[in-house]
Amino acid sequence: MRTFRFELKKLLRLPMLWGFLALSLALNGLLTMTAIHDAPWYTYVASVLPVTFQRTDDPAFAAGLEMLPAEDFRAALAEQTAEPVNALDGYDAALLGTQEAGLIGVTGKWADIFAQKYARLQPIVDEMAASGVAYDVYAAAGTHDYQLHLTGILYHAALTEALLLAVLLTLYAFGCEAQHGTDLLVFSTRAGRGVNRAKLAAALAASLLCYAILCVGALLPFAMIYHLRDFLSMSVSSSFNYVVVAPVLVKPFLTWKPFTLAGYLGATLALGAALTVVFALFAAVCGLLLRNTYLAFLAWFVTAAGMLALPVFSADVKVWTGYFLGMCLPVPVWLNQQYWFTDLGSAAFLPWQETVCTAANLAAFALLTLLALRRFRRKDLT
Amino acid sequence: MLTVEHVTKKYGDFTALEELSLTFTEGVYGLLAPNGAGKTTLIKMLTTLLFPTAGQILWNGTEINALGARYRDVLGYLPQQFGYYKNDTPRQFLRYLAALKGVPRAQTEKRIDELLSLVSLSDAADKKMKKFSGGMLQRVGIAQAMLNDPKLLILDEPTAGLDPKERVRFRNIIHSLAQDRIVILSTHIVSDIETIAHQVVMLRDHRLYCCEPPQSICSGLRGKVCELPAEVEVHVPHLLLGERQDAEGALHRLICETPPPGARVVAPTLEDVFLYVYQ
Amino acid sequence: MRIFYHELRKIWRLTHVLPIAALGVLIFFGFLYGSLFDGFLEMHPVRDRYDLAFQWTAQYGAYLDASEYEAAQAECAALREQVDAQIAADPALAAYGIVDMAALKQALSSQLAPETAVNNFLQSGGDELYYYVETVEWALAEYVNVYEHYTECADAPGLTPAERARYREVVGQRRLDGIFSGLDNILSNYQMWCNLFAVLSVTLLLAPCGAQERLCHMPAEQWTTRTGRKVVRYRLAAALASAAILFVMETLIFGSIYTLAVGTRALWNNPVTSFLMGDILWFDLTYGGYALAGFAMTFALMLAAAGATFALSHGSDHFIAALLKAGIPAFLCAASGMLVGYRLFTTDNPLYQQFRVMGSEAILCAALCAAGLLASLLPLFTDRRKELL
Repeated sequence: MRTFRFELKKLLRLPMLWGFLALSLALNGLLTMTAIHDAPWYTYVASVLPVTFQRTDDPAFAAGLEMLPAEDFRAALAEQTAEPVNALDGYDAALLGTQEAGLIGVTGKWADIFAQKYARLQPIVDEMAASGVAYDVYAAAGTHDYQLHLTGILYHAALTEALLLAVLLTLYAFGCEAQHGTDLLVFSTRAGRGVNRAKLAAALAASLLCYAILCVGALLPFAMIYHLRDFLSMSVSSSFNYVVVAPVLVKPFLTWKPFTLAGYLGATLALGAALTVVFALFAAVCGLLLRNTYLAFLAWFVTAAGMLALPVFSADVKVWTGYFLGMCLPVPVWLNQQYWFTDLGSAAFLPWQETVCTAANLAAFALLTLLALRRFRRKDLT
Repeated sequence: MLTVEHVTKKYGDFTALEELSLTFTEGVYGLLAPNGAGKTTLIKMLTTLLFPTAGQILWNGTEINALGARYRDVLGYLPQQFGYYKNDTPRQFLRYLAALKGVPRAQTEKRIDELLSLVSLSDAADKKMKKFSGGMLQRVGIAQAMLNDPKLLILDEPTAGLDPKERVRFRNIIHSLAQDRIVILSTHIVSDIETIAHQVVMLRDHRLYCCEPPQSICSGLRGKVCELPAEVEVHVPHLLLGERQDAEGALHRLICETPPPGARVVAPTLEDVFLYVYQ
Repeated sequence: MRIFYHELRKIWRLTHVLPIAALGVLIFFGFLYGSLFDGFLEMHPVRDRYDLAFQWTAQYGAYLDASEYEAAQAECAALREQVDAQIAADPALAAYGIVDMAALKQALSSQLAPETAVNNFLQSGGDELYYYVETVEWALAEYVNVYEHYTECADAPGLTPAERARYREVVGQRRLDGIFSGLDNILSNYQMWCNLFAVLSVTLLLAPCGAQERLCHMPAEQWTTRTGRKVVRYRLAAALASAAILFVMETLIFGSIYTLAVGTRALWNNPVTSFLMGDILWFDLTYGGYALAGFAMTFALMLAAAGATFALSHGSDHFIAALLKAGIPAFLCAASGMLVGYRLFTTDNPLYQQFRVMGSEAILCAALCAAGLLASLLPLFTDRRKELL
């Protein structure tokens, strides 16, 4: 425990860590402000919810709207909700699957596997349609932009920064002794090479701490400016929320289970934390195998780039196994964060793929880290 | 001639060196002081890595920082923490430093060969330094310090960590180099200074204590250093310098104004002076 | 010069260069290969318009004047008759009442096209002349339509005075008579990713340099030589030269691949503003000039990243600190490279859309370059009186 505390202090005392965090928070603050021109609309919708409630198919909604003072925003909201639409009612998931498959041109056995995903999605869509979650007003016509801004831009930026910090902190944890010339001292103590376990624990703890700081730093201002609290009970599968797959293909926000915005955010934050651990473990493997910290970073970076390139190239040459399995790697999972817990379109062949793959990556990289630790135990330290 | 005139170095409220004045001419100067006395501070000022808070350092009458490259042209320096590129061979590393030192290209290879031969590293000239022992690395350090045939050679703790054979080899090299240049040798290993230095500079409490030949320094304790069997109790004021074993058993070495009964007076060494001055 | 050579040698270590080269290969195969060899380039009508531009350049030169337009019209009419005859002679199509090109076009655009009959006709060689004639007819119509379009655009509300003047100039001086096809998503995609790799490669190559010197405890030995603290100047020169070397290598490699794949070298002296493009540049540039402008901006971004990375690495005690610091200017330069590369100097460029200043892409690159180079000079000043404790 004492060693863990020392190792953690070593990481948290890096001056540049706090500089990077400060700059990241500043950048995220700027990103938060890019939707400021939409803030009046969100403020208005949030303010009327106590009167109208959240379901547009409820007569009380229109009645409540009528009671409000006449103004442009009220007229706009009334127009947008005049004919409530249940976008999930009668929605053909199989057709969506065909369209998605057609966009990338998947063929063969993978086309069947892909189609099965949408077959499993249909009952969920039907269930959500029956429960009427699509009637949630959310932010009305501003819903898509709101959701995009929150999870697609702001959270994505915070997650990216956290993942980068996780990698660099972990590499530093394992490389700092060699860099400062203290490796021979440290590894010849009673703790010996076992100190790497404390380093790993400290790197994971520091990474998760940075993740938490970045998420809170990103979401808190957003919540305050854009009334996040008022929208937390809204369904993310509201008819006003949609995904633009291609200019010719727009689909509802289809999740594998009904999520309120609160639930969706919670799940996203939890998965993001798990992904942060995956990235830290990934860096740990590189840091343990390569004693030169910079070479370890280059190895990590090139491997990560390879993870990005593999599915794209596989799709170009129509090697669908490479494509779909490549999409399970940590970097593509990060890239598709904006649509986590949805069907993920042509990027996935499994339900809950981001969750399943993150769990699998966690297990795989944990195993690789254990093997790397074991290898380090017998490595000559010259 | 290198002249240090009333040099003071302060870091905020802390004074590392105060009012130091020295003159160096050809020969070997040993710089002797305990840790924290200001040795490395002085050396870094002599090598332009630090700047005096007050006073000046002159080379042949001109301030060294004003001389700039012309001063560094005559300077050879082996730092306490000798830096090197692990993946370089000695030859590659010396070529780089030769370029920095302005050694003409036409002379570089010959000079490198000569120096590697001098430090007995010819066989390892093309092997990567990451495989070298500590002694071999120090020899590369001496070679690089000598690349530009300096008139002023400053060596900071050059024999730390070397085995006796390496230390003797090193002393011989320094002795041969000291004929027509100033060599300033900073070390804790008193025996190194005793054998090769013609002047010893001692610092105490951040000031100059003395700058004299070793024999002159030691003469101050003549008649006061003695040895007697360890079991003998000493009832006079004394300073215990150490203990050694000989054929007759353990012997205590001590300094006292009047040797106690039974004690054998011995010739004082520089180490005795060091322990006495810095007690 | 020797010191410069040694500093350059320290930067170009094989263990650093190879991973960067691997990154380049990954970026090429991951993000460029598909669009070059398997994307729009193989699809109608993009391929047809490229081919038409090459053919008409060979036939008419860089511009299509009025007399050449009439000649092209006549040629097209003759070819149209041939296509009509081909279609009429196909019994499968005739069974559906498709007896000429107009009918086939209508059938293709409707949901009720007899797919098998049409596919058989097109796949058995009928496509070549059909798509060629379709493309020529489209091009000839565009030759007239674009002027009408930009005459309307010039009077549209919400334009800046500069935009209005440019539209009027293009229309008044018939600047859209140029023959060019090639400024589209493929070129944009290529430019964007090449810019990204350019910035990443120079950052990754230079990030460890300053930190490496400190970790190896070299300053004490370097600063006490005749060269002294000026060694940092040689290091800076080597860093900037490395950026230049990388630029030349990457331009040669990626430029050659693009030219070989797309083949637009034949259009080098053609104006990019063309009726075949439908989009106009804010400046009158040939394709060669446009390419050179793009290269210049890439180089500016690389110098910016090199200068900033050099300065930040110089002040770093270890690699991770250097990476954390260098990541910030790298992100700025890389993001700028992506923004600049997308439809450079057109109204679709994101920077232009944000600032509505013609040439804002070049201004941004120049500003970043200046900032990066200024930053690179800082170590020269800070090292002068620095104390090495």
